[in-house]
Amino acid sequence: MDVLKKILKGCLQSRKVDQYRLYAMYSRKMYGICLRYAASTDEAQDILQEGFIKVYKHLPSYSGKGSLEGWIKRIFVNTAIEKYRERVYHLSVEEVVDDGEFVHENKGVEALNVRDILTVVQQLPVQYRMVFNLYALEGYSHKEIAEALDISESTARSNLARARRILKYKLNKEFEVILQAI
Amino acid sequence: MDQQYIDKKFREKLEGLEVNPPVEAWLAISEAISKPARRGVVPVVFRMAAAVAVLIVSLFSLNFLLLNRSGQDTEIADWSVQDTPLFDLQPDRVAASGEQREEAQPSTLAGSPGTDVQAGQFSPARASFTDPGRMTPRQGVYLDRASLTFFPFPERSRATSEGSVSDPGINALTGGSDLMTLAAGTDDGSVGNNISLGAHFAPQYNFRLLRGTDGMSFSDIPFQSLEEQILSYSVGLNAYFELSPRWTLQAGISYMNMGQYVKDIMSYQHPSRLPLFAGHEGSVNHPQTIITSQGNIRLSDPHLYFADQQSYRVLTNRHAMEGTDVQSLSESQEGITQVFRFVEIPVVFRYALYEGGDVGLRLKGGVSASYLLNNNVFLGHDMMQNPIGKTDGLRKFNFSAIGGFAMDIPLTGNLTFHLEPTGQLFISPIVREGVMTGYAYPYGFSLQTGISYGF
Repeated sequence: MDVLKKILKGCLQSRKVDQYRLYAMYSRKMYGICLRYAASTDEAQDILQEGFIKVYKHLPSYSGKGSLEGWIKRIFVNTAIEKYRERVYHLSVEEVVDDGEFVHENKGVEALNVRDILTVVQQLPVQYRMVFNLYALEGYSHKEIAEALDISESTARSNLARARRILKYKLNKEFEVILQAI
Repeated sequence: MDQQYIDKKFREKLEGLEVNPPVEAWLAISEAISKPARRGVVPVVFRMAAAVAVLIVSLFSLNFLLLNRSGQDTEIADWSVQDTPLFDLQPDRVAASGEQREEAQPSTLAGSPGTDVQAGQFSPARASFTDPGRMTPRQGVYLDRASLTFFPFPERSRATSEGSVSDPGINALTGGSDLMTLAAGTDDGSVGNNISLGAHFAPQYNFRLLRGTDGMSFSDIPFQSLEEQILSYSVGLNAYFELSPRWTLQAGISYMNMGQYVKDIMSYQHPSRLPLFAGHEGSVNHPQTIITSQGNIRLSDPHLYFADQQSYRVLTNRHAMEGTDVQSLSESQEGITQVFRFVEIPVVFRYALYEGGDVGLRLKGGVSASYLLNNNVFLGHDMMQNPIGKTDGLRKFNFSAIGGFAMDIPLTGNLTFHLEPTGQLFISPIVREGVMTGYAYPYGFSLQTGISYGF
């Protein structure tokens, strides 16, 4: 803990070595979060950069109470939300057929590796991806999601349902490809 | 039910996802959070290197111009010497009219006090024509038909002249020294017609200079005591172009190793050599980074866990270490070695300080452009084993200043042995700005040994 305090103190003094240390400690995990919210690695890198710049900028406001990782993670999620708000996306949700006949107890999730699953999430339409991430992985309620994304609660609910259907469809499609390859 | 299952599965797969970000991400962050005041500050080393480069280019250009003039004069002198008696020469008159020759009178020769000037014993250094209207007492035409032999080296063996004219401008520049007087004359009145090809091998002692940013970056990590020099080597092919009897241009291509040994980094591994960390799809996502003065090492060997003995240089992603019982690991080895491999193209000017019968001594200086081929990090000092990681953020293109001495020892008619103590200093930091905690400028001292063949 002393080491972490020393790093934080160094960051507050703008010492580059400590800034790098903090980056090295959390960059892998934060980049994983960024990839979940982004459609591409370039976009994820943008979020990562902006997020860390905010971390250094707002570090004086970190009280020391609570998990530093949790505090940093919140900054990154908020950065991803801001990025989403900044951009004007025209949702182009691909037509999804009824997934009933494709679902094989979601075997795809078990069989696919992390990279494929991440790719599937990244391929979601941006608003669905935001809603799914905030609800399923960050634990936001529909009300909180609605406020964060400036949408209605019912839209958040329907977006989540659509996201799940798309994910199931895509995962089963991927799983079928794997089965055919075998 | 099905919806919760989907959420749960995605959460399991993605919640703890860790991926190494690209190196460029930290570069951009570092640049963004750096103080603007630091921009535009030219490092002292850059300024020194620029000054040296300007000096070398200026001297070379000046000398080259003067020697070109010398070549023209020499042609005239050779023509006049062929069928004229000894000392029957006055350059300005000959240049004006090839038919008119004015026989030099003994009284027009001036020597040092007490010098008895005679044909065949004429001393170029001490005797000259005196014509107050056109020459200073130290300027003039030096002529020794009987015994002048220039540059006994193989590549200079043809530079034996029966008569030659030195350039007044050169003598004015050097005060009429013997060396410059000899240098000005060639056998055929031309310069720059000798080419040699050679190869060299050089054991090399490598380390780096440190320069902190704003005087603060290295303050809490005593890199100076935690890192050591290493011994490596370079090999290369060289071409030598003789621009003048004094000046030689050397260019070529070399392969060079540089690096350093990082002390007090303990490594640990599982007693049964089991992997400690696993990545996605078989790739390794090692949770540790090691800070060094020459970049940050991204580790890749999943069998090794590292700890710093002296300072907080090993950074560990704690989340990734969950479930790893460090106490059960056995200590493996101390220290790691960073190695950077370059291919470089040096351009070096060599200036002859001394030319003797058995050895020649030259001063050399120049610049080198190098391209980073690859870099690796090894356990301990052993660079033959498998690498355990790589250094991030290194510059691909680098420039360095080269200086030193060259001893040329003729072996046979065209073959020359070279022994060259050489120093080389990077004039740009090896790590791109922002990645490191300060600036490190690698340098090396080498003893280049090689041979060349003159054509």
